[in-house]
Amino acid sequence: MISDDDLLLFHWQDGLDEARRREIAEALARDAGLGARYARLVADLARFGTLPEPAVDAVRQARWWRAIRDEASAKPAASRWFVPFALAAGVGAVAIFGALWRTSEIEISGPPPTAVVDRGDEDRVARSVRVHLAEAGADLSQWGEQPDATRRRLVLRWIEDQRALARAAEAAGDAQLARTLRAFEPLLRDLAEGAPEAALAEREQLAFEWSAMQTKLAASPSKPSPSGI
Amino acid sequence: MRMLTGFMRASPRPEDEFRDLIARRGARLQAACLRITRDPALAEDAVQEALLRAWRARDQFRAEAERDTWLHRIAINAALELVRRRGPMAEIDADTPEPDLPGGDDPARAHLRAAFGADTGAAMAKLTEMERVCFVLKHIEQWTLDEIAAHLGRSINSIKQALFRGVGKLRGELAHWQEDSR
Repeated sequence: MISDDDLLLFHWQDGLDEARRREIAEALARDAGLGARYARLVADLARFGTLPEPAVDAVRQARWWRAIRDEASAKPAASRWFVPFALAAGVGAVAIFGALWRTSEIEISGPPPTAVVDRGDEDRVARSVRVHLAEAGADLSQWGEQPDATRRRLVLRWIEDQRALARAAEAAGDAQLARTLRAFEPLLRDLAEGAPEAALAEREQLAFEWSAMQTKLAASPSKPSPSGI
Repeated sequence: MRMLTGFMRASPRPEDEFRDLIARRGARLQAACLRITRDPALAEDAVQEALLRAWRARDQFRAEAERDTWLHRIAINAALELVRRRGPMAEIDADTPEPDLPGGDDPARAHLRAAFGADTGAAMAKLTEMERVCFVLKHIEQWTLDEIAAHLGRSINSIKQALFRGVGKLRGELAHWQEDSR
């Protein structure tokens, strides 16, 4: 007997052991009634996941901003007088290193150095991507209710976020996750520029792909790429 | 040297970055904290606390996305801390008005959205604090059961039970939206 509670944990991919997960997956594949029950649960959860956001008024934003400004003026951050010097030193170091590298190019052999990757970095990036996808998915579900300017702003924000996440994934050694994130960009650009009727298909594709990506990221750690993508 | 000064000019000041951060993420942070606290003033305090902590730690982040994720996480933690301070069985005003929601172009859809928002708010108000916090952390914030249990100092089993009860109540309270919204 598979209860709604089991289905709930199955949906979240958390709190069930591997054997029970497999058992539920097999039952879902062969039992249409159970499949329908699961689909209803997932649809309900999707609705609960798109709880509306409040509009933050200007007064509240100003209060937050004032708190930061006060903090900044009370305790000026470590003086940044050294920044131009540090940058200049950095540029100089790169130039010197570049010159040395060129002169010793012929002697360099063997495999390229492997980046040392902190496992925690990978987890942080994967978590960031999951949160981004969840937020973007929630925004996407309310697409039809947004004015054009808001939609365009949303898409630009998604592109910007995904670029930043792709850079973070690369830095954490997950090139595949970085590639996957970058692969969304043409679709997002189409969505920003496309006609409303074309946008429906693109939105559906995007929602499906984001959802699939979230599922993969949430899956067990036995994965080909560090993030599981 | 021209390239260097050009680069320096292109880098925004931290204060400007944070002003942009507030404009870009403020609503989302406020919403996340409000779901935990159900108290607009506490949610605002939690966001402010998180922003100040992010400001103090601003040099530690390698990417904007990393800072934003961290900021979201500490805002949630600050909201949880404020709820804890309020006391485990504190009375929660179920009549807390739902915040103004941004509308849309289509008045009918905007009305439906506002109605769903109001019903959801009422349904959430019927959950116990434990059920609501567990649901928000698990379903909206995507924390793992382990993380929730560790953070709330409860067993995983008690977190699961709170989630089962919470989701059951929400589904019951919002059952009419299964038909109405389609």
